[in-house]
Amino acid sequence: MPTGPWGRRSIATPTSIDSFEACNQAQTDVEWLDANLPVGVRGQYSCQIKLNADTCNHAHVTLDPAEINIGPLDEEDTSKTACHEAGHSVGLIHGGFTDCMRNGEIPNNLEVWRVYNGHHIFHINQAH
Amino acid sequence: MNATFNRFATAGLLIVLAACSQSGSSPQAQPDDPAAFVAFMRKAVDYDFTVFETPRALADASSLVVVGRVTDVLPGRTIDGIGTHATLVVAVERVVRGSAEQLSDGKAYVEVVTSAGSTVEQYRSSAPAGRAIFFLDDRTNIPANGTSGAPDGARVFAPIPPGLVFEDGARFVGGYEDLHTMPEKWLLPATFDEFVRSAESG
Repeated sequence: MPTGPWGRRSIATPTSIDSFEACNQAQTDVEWLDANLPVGVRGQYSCQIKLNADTCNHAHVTLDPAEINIGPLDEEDTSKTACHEAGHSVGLIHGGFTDCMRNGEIPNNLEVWRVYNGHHIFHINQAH
Repeated sequence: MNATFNRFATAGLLIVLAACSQSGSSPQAQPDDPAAFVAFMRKAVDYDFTVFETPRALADASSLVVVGRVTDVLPGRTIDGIGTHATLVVAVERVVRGSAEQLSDGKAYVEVVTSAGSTVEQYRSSAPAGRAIFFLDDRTNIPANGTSGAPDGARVFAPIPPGLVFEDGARFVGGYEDLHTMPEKWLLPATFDEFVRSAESG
């Protein structure tokens, strides 16, 4: 699963998914972009090309640094949102408040907000 | 000769049908249930967004908040880094926050992201007949390619997730976001009208 540096860090370490960076778009599962998103939107995941009804072949993840860097923990917040959107790319949805899949700004700089909890890692590994 | 004629006739028929589907005509027999439209919204994108503790707090952050009905869905703009859009034509029944001067002939033009699983046609065919409340960010001046389908001079808005909430029978349902993931005050209202009041007065 080729990804950008942010997603690579969050996906590859704790899960069984193999992740690497690639410049060839045809091989890229998730393309990382930045843009001016609507107010309050820190990151966006969208599937651009489907492999079949249930599987995305090529997706875009867009981060908005201006929305992410509102609080004091810019680096940690960026890592959190990248982890969050990479989580969407492997099928995670919102719900639960104990890892990077929570919405919004992180409450402190604990690593727990920048990684997946055991429940989410289980589902990622089950699905992939 | 006959074969050639038949091929042209078929081609002509296809062209006419294609032209009709691009006309932007109003959705026929709009469903009462917003479920299909909501499903397409959630297939289109997943967001990480700032959590507002109450609908009123989200209204305070919005350029415009309106109650209205989706009467049409048009092909929309393409924004670098964000993607392609459909433009919802919203007939506004009430301005909750902001000014009626932000509307164009009583309508708000609201762009939503399209993706492989959520096309303009899918949005159009599933657009619910009922009311919705839209918490909007003014995106008129964002650099974009193509046209939103809105009239010249009309402002173009985008919904602020989770600020697109549909009337759903006696209750209400979130568009992009299942409101059960939101802070508890989002679910205190019992009806759509109570939800609108909570956005207005806290």
